[in-house]
Amino acid sequence: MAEIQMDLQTILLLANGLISIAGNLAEQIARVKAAAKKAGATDEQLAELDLKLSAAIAAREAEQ
Amino acid sequence: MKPRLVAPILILVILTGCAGSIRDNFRRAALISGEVALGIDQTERDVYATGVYDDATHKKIGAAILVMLKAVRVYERAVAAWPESFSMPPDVPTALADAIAAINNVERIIEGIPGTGKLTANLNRIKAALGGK
Repeated sequence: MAEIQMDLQTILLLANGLISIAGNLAEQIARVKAAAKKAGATDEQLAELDLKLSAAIAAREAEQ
Repeated sequence: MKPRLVAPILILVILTGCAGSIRDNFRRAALISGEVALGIDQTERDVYATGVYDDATHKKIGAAILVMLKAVRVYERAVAAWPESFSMPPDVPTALADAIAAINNVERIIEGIPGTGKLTANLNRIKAALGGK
C-alpha cells in the first residue's frame, strides 16, 4: 500500500475543501426544503379541509 | 378596494416574499387557517368540558365560532376555486376580510372569560396565517 504523506498545509486545505462542500450541500438542502415549504396547498388537501370544516359546522349548528 | 382589505392582503404578500406565486401563498394560508379554526373549535369544547364556564356561555362562544368556521370555509372555497395563472378573483379578498372579522368577533366574545387563554393564542395563530391584525 502506498504511503500517503501529507503535510499540515495539505491537510488543512483538504479539510477546508470538505467543509466548503458540506456547506454548499447544506445550502442546497435548505433551498429545496424552503421550496417545498413554499409550495401551495394541493386540491386534495383543500377538499379534505372543506369536509372537516363542513362537519364542524354541522356539529355547531346542531347545538344552536 | 375597501381599506379594511388592503392591510391583510399587503401583509400576506410582504410576509410571504417573492418566491412562490401569490395564489400558492393564499392556498397555503387557507389550509393553515382552516386547520387552526378546527383546532379552535375543538379547544373550546375541551375548555367547556372542564366546567370553567356554563352552558349559556358555551352556546354564545359556539355561535361566534360557527360564524368563524363558515367564514373560513368561504375563504377556503374562494381560494380553491381560483384558477391557476389567473389574477386574484374579487371574492378572495372579500372572503379573507370576512374571515378576519369573524375571528376578531370570537376574540371579543371570549375576552375576560376565564380559561380561554389557549383559545386566544390559537385565534392569534389563525390571524397570523391570514395576515390579519
